[in-house]
Amino acid sequence: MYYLTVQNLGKERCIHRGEEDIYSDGMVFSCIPDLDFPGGECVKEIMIVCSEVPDPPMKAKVYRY
Amino acid sequence: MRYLIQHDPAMNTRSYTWMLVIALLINSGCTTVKRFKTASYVGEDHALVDMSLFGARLDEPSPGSEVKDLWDLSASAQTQMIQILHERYPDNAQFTAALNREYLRKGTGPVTDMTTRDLQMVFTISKDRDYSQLGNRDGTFSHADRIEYLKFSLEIPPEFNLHFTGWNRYATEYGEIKVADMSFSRSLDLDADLDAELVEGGARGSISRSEEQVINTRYLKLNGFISDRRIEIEEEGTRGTDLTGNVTANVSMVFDAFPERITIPLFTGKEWDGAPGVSALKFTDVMVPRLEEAPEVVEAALSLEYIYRHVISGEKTFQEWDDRVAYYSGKIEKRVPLFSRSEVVPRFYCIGSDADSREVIRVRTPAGEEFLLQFADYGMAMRFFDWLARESGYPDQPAGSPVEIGRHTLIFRDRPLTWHTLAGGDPVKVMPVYESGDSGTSLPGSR
Repeated sequence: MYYLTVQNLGKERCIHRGEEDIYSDGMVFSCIPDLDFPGGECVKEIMIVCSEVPDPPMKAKVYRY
Repeated sequence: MRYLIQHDPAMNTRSYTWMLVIALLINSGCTTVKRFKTASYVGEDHALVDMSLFGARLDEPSPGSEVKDLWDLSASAQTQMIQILHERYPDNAQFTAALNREYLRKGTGPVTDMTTRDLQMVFTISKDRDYSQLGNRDGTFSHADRIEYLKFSLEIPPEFNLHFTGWNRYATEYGEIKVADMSFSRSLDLDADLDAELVEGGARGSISRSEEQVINTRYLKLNGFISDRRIEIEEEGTRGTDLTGNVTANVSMVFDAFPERITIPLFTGKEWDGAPGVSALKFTDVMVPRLEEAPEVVEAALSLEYIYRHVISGEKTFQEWDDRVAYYSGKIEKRVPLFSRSEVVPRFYCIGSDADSREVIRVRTPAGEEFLLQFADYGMAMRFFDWLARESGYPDQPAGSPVEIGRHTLIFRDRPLTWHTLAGGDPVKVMPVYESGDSGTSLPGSR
């Protein structure tokens, strides 16, 4: 399982998860979801766009668990 | 002054004229309306002046106090409100009074934009007062020294998503020291006798000049400049005005935004013990500051350039026209704290457990969206928390059934939250969403 997280004010939040690693730079996600996130191994860092606030792009991490 | 001229009368007249011209020049040269006697630039000395950010206060912009009454509501809301008021206040006077009440007040609802702030800063500029150097010709301190010019800037480092948006006002404060009202009067009398063979006579001349000054007459230039990440202030002092002191700057700032969704429970109806129950959950999206990390202190880069006017001689007098001046330039760069984390993080509260690891209650919508169950303030969170506690103790509550409010389901540990979990399972409590040192309030009876 892959988890996409963003961090704000020191708090990390999982905003998307899926069976496959579909995540890449420039993809657009809502930053409002807050999903259960077990942790795991960080496989990459990407820059995503928050659909609520598109500018500037936001740093995100992809975890595998 | 007396001169006897016995030979050439024309030559005597020329001499007399020359004396008048020379006296005029001498008198003009003695004017006190001068900046200095001599001036020279010595070089750089970065230790003569210091600057610090004495205080900074970050405030949220105050909301307006717009009031709405019954007549500002929509037509359908007006109809419903009038019907309700008619039922509650059958008396005519009470009914009429109820119609004119204020029902909505702007600013009492949830704030939807928390990214703007007003920042008030007080800068302190001081100079080195090394009295051990008094009288030292090679020293850099005298009583008459002053900071003549300064330009300072405050720049926000790029790692903080923070921008200056407006310059509310700025003011400079100095201590006022009025030395004296002084009047200077200088005169020169000439008395010449002509005693020649053909001409006998004399002439008398007088040149006088008077000046009046108010020492420490204040004259000051103050310029400001603001850009996306930088403010700059420039000051120039004049005679008797030392730029040592405090400068206050008020600016508006905005953070880049990050979205949060907060929950507004609707309390209506009566429960079994007379307390109101939660009939529905409403949600509103708010924008909070976007700062990836939450540093304890947000710092900015402070830079100061100055010109220091050191008086080599002439410092005994308050007026500056007799000063021999040596100018120094200097520069200071330092990082200063602007505000702390607690001034930035929103004070949202959630419900959950932090016994082993932090686990929080979430909301799942009918569409399958899942987000944190968080409230705009502690009071709202506690009210909802109390309702959960009461409901979980309700004897007819099916223990294994999920906690559902309207069409929304509460989620805990990636599973639907059950009344059993609340009644006898893991302890849950009200907790701050962002770390602020609040330990939270535990559910009564929880372990």
